[in-house]
Amino acid sequence: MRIYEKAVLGAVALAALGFFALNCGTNGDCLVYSDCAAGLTCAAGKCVPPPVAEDSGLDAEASGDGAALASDADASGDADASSDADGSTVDGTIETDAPMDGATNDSPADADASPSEASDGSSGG
Amino acid sequence: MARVLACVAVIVALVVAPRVASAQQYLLGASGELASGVEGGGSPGVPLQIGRTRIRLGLDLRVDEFPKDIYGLGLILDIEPRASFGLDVRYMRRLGPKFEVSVGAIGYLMPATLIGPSASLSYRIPLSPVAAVTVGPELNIYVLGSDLPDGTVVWQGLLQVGIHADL
Repeated sequence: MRIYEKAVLGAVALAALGFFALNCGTNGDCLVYSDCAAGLTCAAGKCVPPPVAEDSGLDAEASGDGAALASDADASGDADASSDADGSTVDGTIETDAPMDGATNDSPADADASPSEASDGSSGG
Repeated sequence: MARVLACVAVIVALVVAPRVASAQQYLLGASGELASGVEGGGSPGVPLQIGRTRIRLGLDLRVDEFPKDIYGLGLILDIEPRASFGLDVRYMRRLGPKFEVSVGAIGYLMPATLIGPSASLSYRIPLSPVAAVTVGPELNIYVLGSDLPDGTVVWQGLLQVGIHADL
């Protein structure tokens, strides 16, 4: 390779580097996920915070209402959940259900029923 | 009897014939290259970016009977803007004493995967009978991988400079 060929190659390489250095994107741009810092994701060529999923967003928005609902559920449904716990008034509420089952169990039909049927009835009730 | 002897002779000749292959020698070569360039692709409107700067350490193998057909394996180490590790496999074809083209596949394995086809051209500047400086462009297109946003393809144009030596 002659000297002028080397000079041409070097000049072309320098020109290309200069061009790209002046025209390339900034650090905020990304092509792949690993171009972005931790906690960010690459979307439309930009590093942005990851979008919040719709489900979790609803949960986050409804957290206050959810708490209220949860408390409502505690007031009513907890009777079932805490029925095994210490015989509070909630258990009393449960007890009101239990006699109903018991009444059905005491019925002649249930008395005649086989254990399997009785169990079915209890599970159904 | 003569026919039997002829058949035996033919069979022996056929069996012995592959002995010619024993004259083949596998020739090893090693290379080290430094490369950088530009990257693009992804979403529309995203400008070109300065590509990764990487080191490639390669081994290549050829048979002396077919010195123009070369098979290579390379270790890819990105050093900038972040460290990455990968591999590439290539089929290289000599085009005369100074030029060489190659096609193959390249894949980054860590910290995230990027996989795609690769092609390059090398111009060899001999330093000695067994060593040469290599200069040339390389084009990689990443179409698969966990590092690639959905529905995007990233291309990479590099200028690589290195040295190759026959072992």
